[in-house]
Amino acid sequence: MQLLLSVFIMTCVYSVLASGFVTIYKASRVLNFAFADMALVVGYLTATFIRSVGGPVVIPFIFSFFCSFILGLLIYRLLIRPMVGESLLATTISTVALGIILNAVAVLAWKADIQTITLGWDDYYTLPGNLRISGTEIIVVLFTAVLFVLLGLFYRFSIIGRQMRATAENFLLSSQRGIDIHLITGVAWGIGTFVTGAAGILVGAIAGVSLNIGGVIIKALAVALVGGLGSLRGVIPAAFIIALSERLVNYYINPRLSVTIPFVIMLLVLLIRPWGLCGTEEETERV
Amino acid sequence: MKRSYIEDMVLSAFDTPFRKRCLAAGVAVFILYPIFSPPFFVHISNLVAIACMGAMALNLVSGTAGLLSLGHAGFMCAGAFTVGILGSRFGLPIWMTLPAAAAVGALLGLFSGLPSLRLRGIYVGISTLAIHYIVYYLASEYQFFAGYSQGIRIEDPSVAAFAFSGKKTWHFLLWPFVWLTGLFIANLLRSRPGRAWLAIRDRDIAAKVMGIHVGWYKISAFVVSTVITSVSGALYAYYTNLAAVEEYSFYLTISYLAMIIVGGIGSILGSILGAFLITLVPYGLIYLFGLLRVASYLRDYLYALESGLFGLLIIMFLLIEPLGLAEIWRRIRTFFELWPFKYKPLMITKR
Amino acid sequence: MKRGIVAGMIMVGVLMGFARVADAKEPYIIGCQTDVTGPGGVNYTPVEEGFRVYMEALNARGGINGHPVKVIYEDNKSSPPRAAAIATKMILEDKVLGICLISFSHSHPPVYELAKKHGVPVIAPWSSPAGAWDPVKYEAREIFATGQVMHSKFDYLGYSAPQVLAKLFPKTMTVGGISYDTPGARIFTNWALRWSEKLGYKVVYRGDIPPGTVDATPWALKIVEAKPDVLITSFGGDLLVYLFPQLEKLGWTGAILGGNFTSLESFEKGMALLKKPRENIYMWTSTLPFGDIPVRGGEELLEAMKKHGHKFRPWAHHVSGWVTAGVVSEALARMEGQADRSALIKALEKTNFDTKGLMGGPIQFSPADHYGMTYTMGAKWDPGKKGWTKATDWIKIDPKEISKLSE
Repeated sequence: MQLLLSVFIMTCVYSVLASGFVTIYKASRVLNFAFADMALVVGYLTATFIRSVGGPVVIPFIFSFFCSFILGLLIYRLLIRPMVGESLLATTISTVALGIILNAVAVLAWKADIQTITLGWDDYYTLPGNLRISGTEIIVVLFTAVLFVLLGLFYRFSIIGRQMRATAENFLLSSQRGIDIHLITGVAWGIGTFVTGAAGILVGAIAGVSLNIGGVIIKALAVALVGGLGSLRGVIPAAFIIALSERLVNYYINPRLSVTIPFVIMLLVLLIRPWGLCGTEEETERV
Repeated sequence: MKRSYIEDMVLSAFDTPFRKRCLAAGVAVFILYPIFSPPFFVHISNLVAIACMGAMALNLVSGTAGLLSLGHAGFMCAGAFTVGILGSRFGLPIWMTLPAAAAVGALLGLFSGLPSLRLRGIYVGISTLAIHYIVYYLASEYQFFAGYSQGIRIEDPSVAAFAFSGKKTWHFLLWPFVWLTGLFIANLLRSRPGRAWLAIRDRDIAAKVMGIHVGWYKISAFVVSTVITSVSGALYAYYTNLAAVEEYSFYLTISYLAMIIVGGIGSILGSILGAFLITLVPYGLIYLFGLLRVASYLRDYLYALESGLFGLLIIMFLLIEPLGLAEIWRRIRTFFELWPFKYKPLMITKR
Repeated sequence: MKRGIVAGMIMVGVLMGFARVADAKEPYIIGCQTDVTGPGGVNYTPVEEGFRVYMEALNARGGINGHPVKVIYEDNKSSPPRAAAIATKMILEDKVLGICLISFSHSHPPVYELAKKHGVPVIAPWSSPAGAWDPVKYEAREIFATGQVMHSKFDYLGYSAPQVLAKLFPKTMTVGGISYDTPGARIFTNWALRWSEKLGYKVVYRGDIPPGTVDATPWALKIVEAKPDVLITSFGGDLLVYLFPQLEKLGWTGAILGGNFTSLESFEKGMALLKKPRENIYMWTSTLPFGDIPVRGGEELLEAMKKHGHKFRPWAHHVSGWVTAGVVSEALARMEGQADRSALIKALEKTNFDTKGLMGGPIQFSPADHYGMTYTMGAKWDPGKKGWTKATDWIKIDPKEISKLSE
C-alpha cells in the first residue's frame, strides 16, 4: 500500500514534467531534449535562492518561477526562432545542444554537488491504513492538481490560451488572422520552461537536486509519448501507468530493469498505438 | 568524354590528371602518417577513422533517407558486445565475430525500421531511442553479471597468427575499412536505392505514388546503416580491447548526430569532415587549456567546460551554416573555380 | 577517392596545428584521474583535493630536490572506457611517471591493463584489485594501494566493518547490509555480512542500490519490513540524502554503521533532513576525520588546505588523497638512477610512510606486498556538536591473517 502511495506521488511529479514537455511540443512541434537540464538548472537555482534568501519559502519560489519563465523566453528568442523552417533533425539537435550547454553551466556553477530543497512543511503524517506521508509530498500532490487545473483553464478560457491552441493547430492560418506568432510561441516556451522548472523543484524536494536526476527526468519523455504528444489530458493516466510499472518492477523483479521499463512501454505504444492514449491520429501525420 | 552508358555510370572520381595526383598524395599521406607521427596522434587518427564509419552510416539513414535515428550508440554497443561475448567467452576469431556483429546489426536494423513504416519524423526518432535504451539495458545486465561491471576484456584479434596490436597496425586496418565503406555508400547513393531514399526523404507519399516501394527502402536504409554502425562498434571494441556499456550512452549518439550536422547532412564528404572536427574538438580544447594555464579550480571542471563549448559549437553551426562544413567547402571550391569571376555561368557543368 | 584526398589534407593541417616543443625533463609528471562529475563525484572529489593540496604544498617547498611535480588532473566519470582513454592519453601523450586513480572500482581494471602493458605504476587510494595485495601471485608489479582493497577472494573492509560492529553493538542485535551496486561495494557488503554471521550476528536484510538512483522508496520499504537493528551501509552521501529521511518517515530509527564513503557535505545535508537528532549513527573508517579529531598529521593537512585553497570542509577523504600524494612524492624522492617508470616502481616498493596519526599506522610496501598493514576505527556522529567523535581505538588488521581465515 505504501508502495502505491509512492507511485501516486511519482505520478504527480512525472505529470508535471511531461506537461512541460507537451506544452512546448504543442507550441513549436519540437522535441525539447533540453528539458532534463532545464529542470536541473532551475532546481539548483531554487536551492541557492532558498539558501541565500531565506524567509518564507514562497519568495524564492516565485523568484525562480519568474527566472525560469524568462529563461524560456530567452531560449525561444535566441535559439528556436532563428531555426524556424529548418529540418526536424537540425531543431532536435539544437535542443540537445542546448541541454548540453545548460548541463555544463549547472556543473560549473554548482560544482556537481547535491543540493536539497525544503518546502517548509516537513512533518510526517499517518493516513488511514497505516500509510505514512510527509508534508512535502502533500505539497507535491496539491501543486500538481492546482497546476493542471490552472493550465486547463488557461488553455480553455483565456485569450492567450486560445491563441496558443490556434497557433499549435495551424501556424500559417493563425498568423494570417493577426495573432502575433512569435509572442505566443515565446510565451508558450516560457510556460513550458516554468513548468519543467517546477517539476525540477518537486524532484529536488523529494530527492535532492544533483546531476543524477537526469535519469529520472528522461522518463517524462516516455510519459509524454504514451499520453500522446499533443495532449495535456493524456499526461496524467500515462504518468500513472509508467510510475506504477516502474515501481512494481523495481520492488518485485529487478531494480535495474525498472529504468528500462518506461522505454519498453513507450516502444510498445509506438508500435501499437502511436498517437498515445489521448492524442489524435492526425498528430502523427503532422510531422 | 564518355562514350557509352557503362562509362557514364561508373564512379568517375579520378578522371582528370589533377585528381589522379591528389589520389597519389592521399595514399602517400595514408602510408607515411603513422611512420612519422607520435603514437598518440596515430591513436587519434584511428579514433577518427571509426568515427568516420559511424558518421557515414548515420548520414545514410538520417541525412539521405531522412529517417531520424537516435539509436546510434545502441547499435554500436550491440556490435561491441557481440564481439566481446563471442570473442572472449567463446573464443571465436575475428573473421567470425565481425560478420556476427554485422548480422546482429542487421537484425537490430530490421527491428528499428519497423516503426518507420508506420510513423514519421520525430516518432521514428523516439522509437530508435527506445531501442537504444533497451540494448543499453541488456548490455549492462550482461556486464553486471559477467565480470564485476568492468566491461568485457577483449584480446587483440589475430588472423592466421598475425595479431592486430599496436596503433600502427590498426591504422592500416581501419582506414581501408573507411575507404571501402565510403565507396560502398557512394555507390548506393548514385544508384537506385540512393535515389529512392532521396525521394522518400523529400515526400514519401509522392514517392509511393511514383511506384517506389517505400517500406522496403526505409527498412533497407536502416539495415545498411546499422550493419555499418555495428561493425564500427565491433572494431572499436577490438581496438580498445574493451567492451563496456558506459561508452555507449546517449551522449555518443549526440556526438555522431553533431558530426553529420556540422559536417553536412546527406553527403559523404560532410560525414568525414564532421567526424574529424567533432573527434578532434575535445583534444584541441585540452591542448588549448594547457596553453592558457587555466586556474586549478576550473581544471576540475574542464570536462564541463569542454562539453559546454561543444554544445555551443553545434548551435553556432546550426544557426550560421545549417548545411555544414561540406557546404563551406563547396563555397570555397566554387570561389576558386570561378575566380576571377564571381558568379556561376548559366550553363551548369556536370560534377 | 576525392574524400581520401580531402581527409589527407585535413590530417596534415591538423598535424601542423598540433606542432609541439619537445618535453623538458625537469618536472616529474604524475597523472591523477578522478571521478568528478560521474556517479561517485561527491565522494571522490575531496580525495583529489587532499592529493592536490599535498602536491601544491610540496611544490611551494621547492619540489623534490628541485624538480617540481606536475600533476595532470582528469575527470574519468567512473566509466571504464573513459578511464582507459584518459590513461592512454596520460601514458602516450603526457608521458606520466605514474597514475593515481580515484574512482569507482569497476573503472579500474582497464587502466590496470594499460599500466601493465606499458609498465606504468598505478597508485590507488581507494579500491584496487588483489593485484596490490599479492603482486607476485597476480603478476601485478605496477599496482599499489594505499587504501582499501576489494577482491572477491579477500576484502579487508568486509572484515573491518564487523570488527567495529563487534566493539560497538551486542551480539543480540540483527544486522542488515545495503550498498552501492558496484562490484567493490557489493563484495564489501557480502563479506561484511559473512563476517558478521561468523561473529555471531543474525543477518536479516541485504540490498543494492545502483549509484545514481534518485528515489529510494522501494529499498526503504524493504528495510522497514526486515527491521534490522543495525544497518551496515556502504554507499556515498547522495544516497544518504535520499534514503535516511525515507527511513525515518516510515518509522525505522535503528543504528547505522556507515562506511566513510560519504562526503561530509552530503552527510550533513542528510542529517539536516532528519526530524529527530539520532545518537546511533556510527562510521567505520580507515582515515581519521581530522577536522573534528585533532592529531599531528591533521594539523599539517589543515594548514596546507588553508594555504592552497579548498572547496570542501576538512574530511576523512582528504586524508586518502594526502597520504597517497605523500607516498608518491616520497617514492619520487627515493628514485635511483634515471627518473623513469621502473625506477619509480622500485622506489614505491620500498615505501615506509608515516601517516602521523591520520591512518592509525605507517603505510609500508615491499616487493611482495603492495598493500601493507591497515587499520580501522569507529567514529560516532555527535548531533549536538555536529561533528565526529572517536568511538573505538585503531584496530590493526593484517590482510594475510584474514585471507587465511576466510577460506
